[in-house]
Parts: sequence; C-alpha cells; structure tokens
Amino acid sequence: MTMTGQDISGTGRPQSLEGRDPEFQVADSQIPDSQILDCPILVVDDTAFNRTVIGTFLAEAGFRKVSFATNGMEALAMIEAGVPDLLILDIMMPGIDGYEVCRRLRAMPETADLPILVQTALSSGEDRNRAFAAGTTDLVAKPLERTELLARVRIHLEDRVLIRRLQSYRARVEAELSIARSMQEHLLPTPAQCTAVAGAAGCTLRAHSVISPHLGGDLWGLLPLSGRRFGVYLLNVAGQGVSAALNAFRLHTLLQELGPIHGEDAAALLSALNDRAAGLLAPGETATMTYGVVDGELGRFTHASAEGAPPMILRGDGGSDFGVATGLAIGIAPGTRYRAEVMELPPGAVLALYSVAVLEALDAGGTGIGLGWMIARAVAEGDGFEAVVRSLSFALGQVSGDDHTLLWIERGAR
Amino acid sequence: MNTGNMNTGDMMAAGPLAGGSDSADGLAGARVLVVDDNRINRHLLLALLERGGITLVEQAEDGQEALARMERFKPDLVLLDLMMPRMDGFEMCRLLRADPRWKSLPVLVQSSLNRVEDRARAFRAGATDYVTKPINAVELLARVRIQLRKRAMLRDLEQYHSRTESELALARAMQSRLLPGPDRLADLQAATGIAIDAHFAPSSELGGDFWGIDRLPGGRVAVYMVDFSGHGVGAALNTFRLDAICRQIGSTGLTPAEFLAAMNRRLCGLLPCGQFATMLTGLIDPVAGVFDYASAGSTTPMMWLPGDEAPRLGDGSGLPLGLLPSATYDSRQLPMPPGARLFLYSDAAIEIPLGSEGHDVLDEPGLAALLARRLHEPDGARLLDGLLGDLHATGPIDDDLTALLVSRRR
Repeated sequence: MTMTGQDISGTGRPQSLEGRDPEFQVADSQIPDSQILDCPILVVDDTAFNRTVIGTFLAEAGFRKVSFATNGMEALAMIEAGVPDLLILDIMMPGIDGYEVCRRLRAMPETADLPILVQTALSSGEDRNRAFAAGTTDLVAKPLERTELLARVRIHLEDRVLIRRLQSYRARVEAELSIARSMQEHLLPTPAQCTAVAGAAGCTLRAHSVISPHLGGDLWGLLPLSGRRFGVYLLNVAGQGVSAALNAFRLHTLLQELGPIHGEDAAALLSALNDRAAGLLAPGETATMTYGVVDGELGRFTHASAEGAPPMILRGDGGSDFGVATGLAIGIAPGTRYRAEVMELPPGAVLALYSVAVLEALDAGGTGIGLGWMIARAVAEGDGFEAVVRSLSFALGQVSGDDHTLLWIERGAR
Repeated sequence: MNTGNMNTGDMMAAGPLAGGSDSADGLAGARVLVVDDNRINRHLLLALLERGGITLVEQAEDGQEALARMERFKPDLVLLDLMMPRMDGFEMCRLLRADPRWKSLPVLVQSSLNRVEDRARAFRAGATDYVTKPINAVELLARVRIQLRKRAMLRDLEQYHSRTESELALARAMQSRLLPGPDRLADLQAATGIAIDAHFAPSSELGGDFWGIDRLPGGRVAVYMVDFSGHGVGAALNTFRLDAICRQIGSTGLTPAEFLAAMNRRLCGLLPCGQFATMLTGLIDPVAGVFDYASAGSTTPMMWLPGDEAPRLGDGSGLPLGLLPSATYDSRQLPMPPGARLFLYSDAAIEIPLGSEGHDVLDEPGLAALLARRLHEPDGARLLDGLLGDLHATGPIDDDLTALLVSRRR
C-alpha cells in the first residue's frame, strides 16, 4: 500500500511578509475535496463480493487511494507499513477477526486514534457493544447502504485531516516556542551568578521566575558593581506572548550596553534606557521597570521606578516599608527623567521585588498593603520565600500562562 | 410515538461504560442538548447520559425550541429526534449547518425511522451520526463519547491555533517593521541613486534573517545582511537583539571589519552556546566607486558591471559571529562604478537540493549561473522575481530566504 505524503505540515513557504500564505490558515474548516479524496483508505473484508461493493462505492465517489486486505493479519501488516486515514473493517473473518484487529490497533500509539468504521451483519446489541468496547469508532450495518457509508466515510476523513493539520501546526509552533523559551531563560542570572553577585554585598538572593510557555515580557537581571554593592532590575514588557518577548530581548540588549555606563545611578539608567528605547519600541509598546542598587555596606537600597511594582522591605521587627518612587513606564515619552529614592535596608531585612502579576495575584487591591501583610505572615511562619512562592503558585495556578517574577534579597545579619 | 422503545435491558448493561473519571478526555463539563418531542424519551436519554457521567444536559421539545436554546446553552453535542411537530429534525439539522457557529457541531440523530431513505436524508441534512430506536444504551453512550472526545480535542487544538496565530501575526508585523520599508528605500534611491530590491521570506511565521541600510555622510551607504542559526521564533529573538545593537553602535566611524568585530564581541556575550550568525556588512562609496566590505562566514557576494558576462564573486569567508570574542575580520573590496549591481542572499539560496536523492545542492556556481542569465535585466524587481522563480523551480527551499539586489543607478 502506498501512502502519499500530504502537505499538511502547516509549515508553508510564504512568498513575502505581506502575502498571507494560505497554508498558515490551518484552522479553516473548509478542507478542499481533493485532500479528502486523497486520503488512504484500507478496506478489510474476507468476502470478495463485499470488497468489490465497497471499492466501487468509494471509487465512484472519487476516492483515489483505496487498498484492500482479505483478512486481519494482512490488514495489520499493511497498516504497519503505512497507517491509512480510515479503516473499513469487517467483523466476522476467519483467523484474526475484526474485534481483535480493533483491540490490537488501539494498543499501538500510532493507530490509537485511527478511525475504524466497522461494517457488520450482526444486529444483536451485545455484538455491537462488543465492537465499541474493542475500540470501534463507528458501526454500519450490512447490507451497506451507499449514501450512509459515504457520508460516514467523509465525516471521519474530514475530522482526521483537520485534526492532523492542527496537530502538526501545534507541534511545530510548540517546538519553536520551546527553543525561544529556553533562550529567554538564558537571559536570567544563574544561581551561581546570584550567589556571587549578591554575596559580594553580604546578601543572599533567591529568585522565583516563571516564563509562560507562550513566552512573555518578564525579565530581571543583576549588575555587579564595585564595593559591597550590586544593581538589580526587574522589568515587564506590556502585552504577552512572542511580541512581548521580542521587546524584552531588545531591552535586555540595551541594558547590556547601558549597565556598565549607568549602573551606579538608578535614575540615570532608567532615563538612558527610556531614551534609547524610544527608537526601538513602536507607539503603544511599553515596559514597567524597577532598577536599584543594593548597598550592603551602608544598608541601603537606592532605586528608581518606571511604573514598576513598589519594592518592599521587610524589617527584622516584622514591619514593612514600600518604595514610593514613581515615573512613567519605559517607552511612553522620550526625555522622561527619573528620580531615585533611598530605602533603608537594615541587617537581616528582606528586600522583595516582584512583577505586577505577583501584586495582582496576592493583593487584589494593588495597594501593596495586602501583599505586605501576606509576606509578613509568611515570614513569621518560617521560610518566607518558600511560603510566598507557595502562595503564588496557589494564586496563579501551577499551569498559569502568565509570567511572574519574585526576587527575595536578604541582607545578612551582622 | 412509541415510548417503549428504550431497551432497558441494555441500559443495565451500561455498567462498564457508566461513570468513571472522564475529566482527562473531554467529557467533564460536556454539554448535551436532547431534542425529542416525547417527554419519557427525553427523561430516559437524560438518565442514560447521567449514568455515562454527562450531567450538563438540557432538553427541547422540538426543533424551534432547540434552536432558541442553542446560543445560550452552547451544547457540545445535540441528540436529535427526527419526527417532531413544528420543526422536525431534518429541518433543524439543515438550519444548524447553515450557521457558521454550529457548522461542525456533532449532531447524533436518534430515530425510529429506519428506512434507507430516511437515514440518507438525515445525513444529507448534515447529521454526524445516526442510531435507530429502540436505543441500545451502551452503543448510544459509546457514540456520544466518541463524538464528544473528538469535539473536545478539536476545540483544544483550534483554541491553541487561534491564540498562537494571532500572537505570531503580531510578532511577524514587528519583524517586518525592522526591515527598511518602501519609503526608506525610495528616499535612499532619490538621495544616492542606489536602488534596493529585496525579498524576505521566513520559512515559518518568523525567521532569523535580517538586513538593513544606513545612510552615512559623503553619500556613502552601509548595507548589511545577517542570517542567524536556526529559524522560527528563537532565531527571530536574535534578530531583534541584533537590530538593537546595530542602533547602539551605528556604522559611523567604523570600518566594516571593525563593525563586525564590535558586533561579534557583543553577540558572544548574549548568544547561548551553539547559536551564531553569519553577517556581511559593507559600505558603498560612490565617489571612489568601490564596495568596502567584511564578512563573518556569509555567502559569497556577487557583483557585476555593465558588459559583464557573469557575476564577479567576492569573498564571504570569515568566522561567524558569536563564536569567539577575539575574532577579527578582513577588509575586502569590490569595484562598484555607476551601473554596477550587487547581489546578497542568505544561504537558503545555495542550499537548494538538486534532485530527490544525493546530497548535491545548487551551491554558489549554480546560483551564479542562474544569475548570469538575467544579469542585464534592467528592472531590478523583475530580475529578482525571475531569479526567485528559478530558485523555486530548482528544488524545495527549507530555510529563511533573503535576497537583496543593490543597483547603482548613477
């Protein structure tokens, strides 16, 4: 039996960016007739007369790839050589009967979802039930009626073609996104880098960041600075998915350039980034961001904010402070000048930076007050970071498609 | 209508199929609309579905009532009787199929009509499946489940498709905005006499190819072309990085070789292991009549002058970007007097397989030979179109394809 490869991959070759290639529009339920008629069909029947009748019905209807098997063993061998799109199967056959063919096909992953249309003279309910229990998709009664047989054949093949197209589209896009996602993860500091950079300032840094399988605009990073200090940023590009990630990569590239120049000065870094971003981001494309310098010597966190979620400092005595620095989001107005704000970071205190998604998940009001209370309670109960991450997972769901990031920087007690 | 047509013996046999956890295969939350004019039939079907774990069921007495409920209830499957007052099942089926919202909704007909003509008529009206009363409970449930599972699977796939399709369309538009548009190219030609015809075709929605131009003092024009390893979304992320870097370092004041070295140092710090890019960047100097360029493993640039029989091949060799931070690049030169034309392309153009077996590809001599036949086509767009037609006729192109034709008009 020859199985001709059909172009159902969904990986079309567009001629230009503007010209939409029809092959990308895989979900259009209008499947061309030729594609249905080119689907390979295998007819299994031990009676020559039945094979002739079915073959004639199918040929008259225009089906071009019909093969025949005379018994169960032959059918299984043919299917092993190439899986058809539809099996029309007789039940009562010598040797391996139709029930057994069904059961064996269902046990193999390649044929687990192959449509099997059983044709049977059996009219008792029990036999029909047995056929369904064995894995039949559909059942038609003998003597076969032409219109009904062809209608059922067509329904199964149309679904098959549509499902296969969508499945291969999904497999291709998922593969692409998974590569892109690992690239996005690669942008983030490794645990070793966290330990080295934060450790030089006498701090520990723990990070919880979730990148959506569809990609997204969350990004954070560290800048090693001289002395017992380091810079830390957290940014979130508006929107979601691939386009947000594309802009996150752009901003990351800019930060690689600007960090060494402006890393000491939180306000200058944001101002420079915003100016440079103006040439790259389209109108309406924006990002929120917080950048600050942790000074482990003086016990300070000096930061500027482009509409970023307010940094929270949790003091050893259980109280908490929120940053009040404000500024326009990156990409709104070139020439925006940001101002830095200093927060005290006493020994043993925790600086929490988090994306807006975290704020929204844990604190519906967005005031930060609920979040502070929640974090304070989590800390009182033991390992604050772990507890907050647990609450986050609970609030956002383990399989949430949304990006979110929580950075937990603890200044060592002296 | 005969109401005693539910075979309760089979109902009891429903044991093995009844209940169970179906949350994994699309039955949880499945909604079924039962349409039958007979109340007892409806209740029997309801009870049967419930035994099968399907509890979101609504009922309608005839086609009209059913149609009125469709929009609000949004069923995943309709169990449809045929013989009903007011609007029968045939008519209801036809109306459903005429509505784009219900075009692919499974409609399982259950009827005591069992003549060949009735069944054929029901299928012609758009029925998905047909069972005859008296109803075999196990069979009906099996068929309902098969249809619901397929429906759930399709819906899941369609949701994924529509979501990613619109996201990728957005990203694709962003990527096309990276490239010089018709306005910039028209300005370039008006100001410098340099015309560029371009073809950019990612192998999927997004790609890893990228090109750009920069106008410099003294009428000079920088042109560059980049091809990242891989294709698709991941490679596209890298083109956005490269665009950002290009705009940071600019080409002013740097020779092409220095520009590549600076680009390489930055990409070495950014690209994950195993990713790299080839790039050719050059300066067209109209006063000196030369093209000064440098290449990081790019394809061979091809240049021809009026009267040439074949393109002159430049040198594309050099270490690709992103592999070795200390890499340096050679300065090279090709003559580019008025009337000269330059052809740059991604490697997809020379890696087209020749014939179905063997490992022979078109390669540079093959491409040069195809190009030689069209060297003196005066219209740049037509030359490029013709050449691309030749390439597509040669064999399948499986990677992002970018081609640039740069013509010095004066």
